[in-house]
Amino acid sequence: MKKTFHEGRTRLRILGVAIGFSFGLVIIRLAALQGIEAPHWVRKAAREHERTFEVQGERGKIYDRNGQPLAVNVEVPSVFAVPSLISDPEATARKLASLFQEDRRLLLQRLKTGREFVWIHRKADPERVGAFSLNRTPGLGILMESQRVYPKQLLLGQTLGFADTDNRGLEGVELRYDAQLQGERGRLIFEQDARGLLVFPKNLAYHLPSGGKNIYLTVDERIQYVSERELDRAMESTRAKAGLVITMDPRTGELLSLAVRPQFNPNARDSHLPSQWRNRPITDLYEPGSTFKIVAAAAALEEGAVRPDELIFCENGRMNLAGKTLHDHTPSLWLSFEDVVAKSSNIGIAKVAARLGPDRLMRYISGFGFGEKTGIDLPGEAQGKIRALSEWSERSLATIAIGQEVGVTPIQMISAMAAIANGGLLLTPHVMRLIADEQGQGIYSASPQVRRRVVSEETARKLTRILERVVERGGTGERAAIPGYPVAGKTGTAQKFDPVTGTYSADRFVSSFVGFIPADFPKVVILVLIDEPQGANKFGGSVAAPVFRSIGEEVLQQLGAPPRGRSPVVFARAALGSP
Amino acid sequence: MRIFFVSNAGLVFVGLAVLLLAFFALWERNRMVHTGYEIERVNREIKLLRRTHQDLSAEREALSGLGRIDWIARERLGMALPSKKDQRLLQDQDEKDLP
Repeated sequence: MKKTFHEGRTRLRILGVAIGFSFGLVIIRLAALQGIEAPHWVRKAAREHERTFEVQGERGKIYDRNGQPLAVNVEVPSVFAVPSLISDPEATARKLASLFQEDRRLLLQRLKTGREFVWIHRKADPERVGAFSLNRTPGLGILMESQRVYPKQLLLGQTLGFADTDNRGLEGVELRYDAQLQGERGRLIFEQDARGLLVFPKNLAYHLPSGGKNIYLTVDERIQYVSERELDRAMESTRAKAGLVITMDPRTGELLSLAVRPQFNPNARDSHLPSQWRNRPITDLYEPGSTFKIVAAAAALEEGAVRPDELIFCENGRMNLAGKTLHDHTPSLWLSFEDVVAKSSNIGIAKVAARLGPDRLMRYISGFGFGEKTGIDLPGEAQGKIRALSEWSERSLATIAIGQEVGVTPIQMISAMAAIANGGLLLTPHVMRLIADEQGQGIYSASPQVRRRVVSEETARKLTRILERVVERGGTGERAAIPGYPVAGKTGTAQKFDPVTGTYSADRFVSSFVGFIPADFPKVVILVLIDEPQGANKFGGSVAAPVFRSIGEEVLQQLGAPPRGRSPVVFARAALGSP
Repeated sequence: MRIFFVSNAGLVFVGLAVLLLAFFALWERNRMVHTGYEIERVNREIKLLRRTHQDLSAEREALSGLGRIDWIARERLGMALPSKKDQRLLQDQDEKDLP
């Protein structure tokens, strides 16, 4: 009996020690979990229960000068996959390939990668994704992403440019003002339950995303539309290869429209060639032909090398120039300098340029901004091509004065004409008018930037009067005349240089007209350029001048400039609240 | 005996108080979770409405494109630009800059 009692006590002791030991182990483990390993487990728990969202602030919108939206954002679905959760990658890839019309093998490759997250199709058509949602497969999910949309489609396409899938600007205004348009990223931390539903923000210290700034352009949607419409009509009637129209306010350098053809729709940039999204008015060079004569004319007047009424012998349309013959389109004997410009006499301008000499002509070419970038706030601007004086041949003085042997951009050409229109100041052209925050409060507004004075006000006035003669009866640009408004301008018909033969082509021309209206109080400068028009008549006065007139008529109405000889109905604004 | 009674009653009281606090905390947590769900639901609704608003705004802008209006006016409604005779020019008397 005693022995049994002792055996029982011994067993109890062993049991007690065993329980004590076990508890000891549990306590040690507990201490390890709560102390030494705590940070590791806290992190692991956070991974299970927390979801961190990186939220991109909405990209700023782009408006025209009157607040009409030109670039906005919409949310569209993007489909992603977590490959480890997909049980049958082959079947899933097959289904997704037919839904999104993607390469099945590529999709399968993506689904078989060891990565935790892969994109299947970004920024997809919501209707397609809606169909996909009905047959939701584990491991596939949808994230809503902001996509750039250009609601006016083709309007101002090349100038607006476009943004990529990650909403980074790649071309045009989108690229130039990307830093301002980009929003700031924010971070939100949520706690989620076992079903993956969000419970509550983890704490209030999350960083909210901020939207990008809005850009208001100088471009007027209505003028842009008129420019594009008239350019389209001209392209259709002349079957030209390309064309462009620029309109500018000569008092501020603000561009009111930039129409370019072939057209480009930034909503469907993948269906266009890169050459179609090039903003030709600032990236492409062309030989300006007779429109360039305004430089030699301005220089000659400013330097006192010629008087407007001075007669110049025009050699009856043919003049020997360093072994080659320089022709005039209309042979003349004696012409006043005004008529030399009005009738676009090559010989007359060549003779005036000879009085100036290469140094002075070159000084004015540079002064008008040719051969250097205008500083326009758009990417990809070319600086033009003006050869150094040391590279000029015997003929160069004459040929450059009549607009050959030089490469200029359309934006340089219109800036030079704007300098004549505004009384002699060369301004920096620009397309941004205002940068505003999300509430519409202006942060930065652009003001006119004067680069330099190129000619005196008097010279500009004299040249304006001469350029008015171009548009009057008998001038090369008479088809640019707008009833009721004095118009000043210059035609240009430049033969294109053929790099294969090394000569000027006999049937490929660039026809242009650049001018301003009203000539006595310029509100707008317009450049029309038609590249390789087809048909019998390819002169700037026949092809480009009528386009100038059509656009000018409507633009003047838009800008509220009444024609001469017609009295407008004057109205007064009533004060608010008055009876 | 009295000390024992006081001690037990005290313990019960403290226990009940702790229990009450625990229930209160649990209730608060429960309310917070439900409020969180409600906020999430409303946020989803806001997002959906915002998306719809964005879509409709973009559609309105596309529909109000001048090219489309011009086309409808000319092709569907047979309209044309008024002739010079039919136009009346309005000029604001405050516009001093015009010649």
